[in-house]
Amino acid sequence: MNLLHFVDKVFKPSPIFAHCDVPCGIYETNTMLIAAHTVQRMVEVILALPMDKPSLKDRNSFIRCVRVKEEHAQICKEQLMILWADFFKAEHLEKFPDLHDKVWKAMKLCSENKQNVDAKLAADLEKAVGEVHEMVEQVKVEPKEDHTGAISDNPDAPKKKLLGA
Amino acid sequence: MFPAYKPGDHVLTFNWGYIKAGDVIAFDVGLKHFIKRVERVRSGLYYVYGDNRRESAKMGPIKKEQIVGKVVFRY
Repeated sequence: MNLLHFVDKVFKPSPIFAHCDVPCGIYETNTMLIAAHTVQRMVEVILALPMDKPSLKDRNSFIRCVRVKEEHAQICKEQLMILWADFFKAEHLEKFPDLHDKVWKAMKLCSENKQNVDAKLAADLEKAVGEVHEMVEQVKVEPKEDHTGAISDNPDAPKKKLLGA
Repeated sequence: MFPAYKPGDHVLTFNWGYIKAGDVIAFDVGLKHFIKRVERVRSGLYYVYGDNRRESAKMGPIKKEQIVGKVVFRY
């Protein structure tokens, strides 16, 4: 042992890591889905506001809705980016050859929804995000360990535990 | 990889021989070396996981050319 440590002092070994930068491995789509739905709802509320002679309250509501729409379109885009960059792996591309195209178009729709107040664009964003969610659900493997670290054969076990089922 | 491998441990790897499920390997991703256990080998790809899955980031399958070697000794 001491000899090996001595050798290591002469020939420095390379460091080796058990984890990547963030050892979480936790991915979810709820944030993205809620953000897309928020964008859609804000568009709906903005379009319902009176545009002719708006009151001070209407003007205030308009600004608040635009701000929330902008913020949630950005959240949606960031969530898509995280899934695209970190969650999806090479084998998922084999299963979903149009993955890049779908995620890219969904991210574009986030930007278009920032630039516009358009019910169709908002609906398109919800649909696109829903498709990405479906892809994640199809390939996602739930953590199978329980709190003691024991491995369960039931992939739904953690979900049931969370739901109290 | 706790408790089999702890921070500060040194490992010796050999890059010859057959790698099978259950072996611990060192491999390269980008400019960094990683250590994980092989769960299965399929179609020339090595599916690796940490011993503590809740803590470990999920990595995609590893290609043979990324493998530095099989861990044969810890000291």
